[in-house]
Amino acid sequence: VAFDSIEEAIRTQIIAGVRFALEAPYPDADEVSMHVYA
Amino acid sequence: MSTPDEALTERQLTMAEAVREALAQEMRRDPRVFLLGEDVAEAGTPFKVLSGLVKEFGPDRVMDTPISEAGFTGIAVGAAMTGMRPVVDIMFGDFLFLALDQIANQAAKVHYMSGGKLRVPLVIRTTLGATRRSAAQHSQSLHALVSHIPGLKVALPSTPYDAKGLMKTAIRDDNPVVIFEDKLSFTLKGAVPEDDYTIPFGQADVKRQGDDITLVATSSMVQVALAAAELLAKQGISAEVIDPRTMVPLDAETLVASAIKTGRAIVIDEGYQSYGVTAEIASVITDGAFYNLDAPVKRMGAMDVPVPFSPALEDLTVPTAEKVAELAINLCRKRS
Repeated sequence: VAFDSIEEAIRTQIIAGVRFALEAPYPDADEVSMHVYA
Repeated sequence: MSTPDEALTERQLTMAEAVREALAQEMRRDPRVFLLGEDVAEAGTPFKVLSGLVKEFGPDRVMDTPISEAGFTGIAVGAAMTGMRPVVDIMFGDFLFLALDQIANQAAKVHYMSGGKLRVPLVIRTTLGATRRSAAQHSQSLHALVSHIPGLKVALPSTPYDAKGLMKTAIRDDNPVVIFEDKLSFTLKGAVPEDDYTIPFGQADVKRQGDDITLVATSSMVQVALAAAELLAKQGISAEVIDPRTMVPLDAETLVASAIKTGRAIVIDEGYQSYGVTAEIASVITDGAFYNLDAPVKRMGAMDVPVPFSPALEDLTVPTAEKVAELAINLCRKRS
């Protein structure tokens, strides 16, 4: 049961992450060189 | 030219002592700084650069590791990502190949791949340089390898003063920095203030001013270029010697300005010539100074052969002051 709840929690996180990614706009072209260096 | 601090001090240190002082000062300043690598503690490295540090800072901050470059570099990448500021010692630059996945695929890319959320304030100290009779697997100058990878910064000190200042800058940088120290330069002496000072990355140093030709030289080749400039002076040729000090970021502005002034340039480096940093720097100079050049920008790197063990052969593979001066004289004669 404990494993099932962990698996369910992870599945929920993954679904939310995929939904966030699919709904997010593509980045602007000027972001291509952002964060190469801190 | 020498900075004011360097010119004012009379205190002389070897490059090894300068690096050690930089590390000790940074470890006293910031408890997150620690050292790890093979033979860094009791042995103080084979070159004795780190001698005595374990006595002051203890084995928790000066850590001997197993012979596993990939392993301890990976440990350091993780430590850096979680708030520490590790300094990894890769005994010979040739051993970088063993740790390249951690350096090039992990440390260099984590900041980008996390959208700027994670940082890797990691310093990798390693060595370069031939003519030490150490043969093909302990003599390479591989700074071009890491200079090719976006996300890494790369520094090559040529003097004790620069070694201290660049090391302190590297430790305070939030990016992974690879510092190459020339093995034969560890005994080179020079003025080094005891003060806390840093040298900004991307700021070349004009080691000698001149008007007729620009000699751009890195690391050990700076001394070669300065000796060549002396030879050239006897021939009535005034050579300007510039040390970029960091490959990444590269101070293109200073290099181009010098080439525009003199009209000709030679780039001298101890890495293999083909596909090496001489090609990149020559390209930068040609691009920026093309209409002011009186001759093609020339390159002098190490011969494209594994570094031979035989002293007679090894000495043929790297630029010398005589070879640099000969090429410079030819370039200057072609001008008029």
